[in-house]
Amino acid sequence: MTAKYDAMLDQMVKDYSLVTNGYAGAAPANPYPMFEERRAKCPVAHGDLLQENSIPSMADYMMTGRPVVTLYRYNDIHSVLMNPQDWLSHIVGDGFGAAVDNMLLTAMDGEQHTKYRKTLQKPFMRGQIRKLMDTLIRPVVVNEFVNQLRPHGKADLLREFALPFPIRAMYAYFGFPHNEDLLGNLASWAIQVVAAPQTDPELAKITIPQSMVAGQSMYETLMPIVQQYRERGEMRNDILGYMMTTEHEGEKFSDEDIANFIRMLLLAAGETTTRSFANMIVQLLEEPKVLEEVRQDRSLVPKAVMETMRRDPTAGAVARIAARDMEVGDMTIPKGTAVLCSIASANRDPEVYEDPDRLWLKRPMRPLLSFGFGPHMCMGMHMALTEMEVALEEILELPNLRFDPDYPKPEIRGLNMRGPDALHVLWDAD
Amino acid sequence: MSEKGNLKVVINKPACCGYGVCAEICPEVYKLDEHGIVYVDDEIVPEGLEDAAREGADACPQSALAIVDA
Repeated sequence: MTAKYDAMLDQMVKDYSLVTNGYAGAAPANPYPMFEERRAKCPVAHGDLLQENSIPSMADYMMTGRPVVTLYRYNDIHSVLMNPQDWLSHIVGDGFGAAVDNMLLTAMDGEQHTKYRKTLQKPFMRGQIRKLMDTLIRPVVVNEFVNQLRPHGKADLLREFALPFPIRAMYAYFGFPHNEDLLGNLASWAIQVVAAPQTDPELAKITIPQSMVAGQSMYETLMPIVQQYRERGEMRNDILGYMMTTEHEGEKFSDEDIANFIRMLLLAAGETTTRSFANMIVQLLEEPKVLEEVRQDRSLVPKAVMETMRRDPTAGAVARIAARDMEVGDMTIPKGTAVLCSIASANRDPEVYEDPDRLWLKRPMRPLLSFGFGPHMCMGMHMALTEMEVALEEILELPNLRFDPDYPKPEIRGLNMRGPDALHVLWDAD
Repeated sequence: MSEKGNLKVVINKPACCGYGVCAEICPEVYKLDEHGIVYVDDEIVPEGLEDAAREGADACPQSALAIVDA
């Protein structure tokens, strides 16, 4: 391993920890007992769960004092997310939308969202992504990572695998040239853009201008990549190739449009998969019987991915704003009030999930809210699921995988962007 | 838990936006065309797949799918 690569991993760990700490705030590492209590006592509650724990909240990123109601029940959250006419998304880009010229699919509403989503989601559809499973994703996971780690018998799977592999796979699918500096810089800037909102106003004075600079740096780095791809003239079966050949409302995209879209996609392209993968492995290692169950029956791999994402989701909360006066439960929510939807709480709602705390691969599933739901459901979902399935299959090939007793047991923490600080494991090397 | 007797899939094609969640959950029943739009080879749900087909229909973020008695 080169010193340069090591330095890139160090930077990724640093950025990752910054995000974890920001979204952990003053909350307990295990928030589930608190959710259980609130679901029972005040499932539709005035106030913002994240802000009360000193965590930036999508419901009011810029701390304007907007009224916020927090929802804890599955059915309430499901109906909000399925009703995009009355519950708008534009607030989710507050604070960092400016850094990316407000080209944010997640913050669009109505017809604008429908049209862009339709055009942009084509390369992310299930059929397209499944074709990459054995042509792109598995070769990256096996050749560049698992085969390198295998002889050592030990690793910090967060630093040496979960952080770099999703970015490596995603950037290859974008059609970027393979260049470690490029990967590291873009990933780091992407985190700086989304880290703009902060609950501490003094900190926000630093992070907001920083996010503007990071957004500009991303654009300036992406433009020459886009231009060189076009000049080469060979349109491959990747995202850049798709964007150059597709039409939106009868027109082709310019290089500027494409650099803008790629920048938007990069904001969501790596760290979320890192966290979901790490959370999956932590949960499976905590339940050796369940780990053995999936090791014996590989058809359970997709179930293991979905069930661990249910039981401990990375995206713990999303927000919407009322377009008119609304009712949720027995509360009237006036127009202009935001709702913070606690996905993490909904995912353990006993009204919907039997024995919700149990890691149970064969449980009757309900629509999974961990990628959001409704028309804004994560566009990269199939990429994330496929990466996680391949990564789990290949990690299961490491015999006798277990926590490394020389390190403290990993703890998944935070109210949003949940994840462990490290993932030290051992296995029996050949 | 599965209901016995024949069930069939009803698809509201114009509502389908190609999210592909149904095919993730129950690929045996839900197929996706080259645009990612859902179709079924046979609208009758094969025996043993009733729960999975229902799960896949419920999970559609556009409510484009329903399972009804055949």
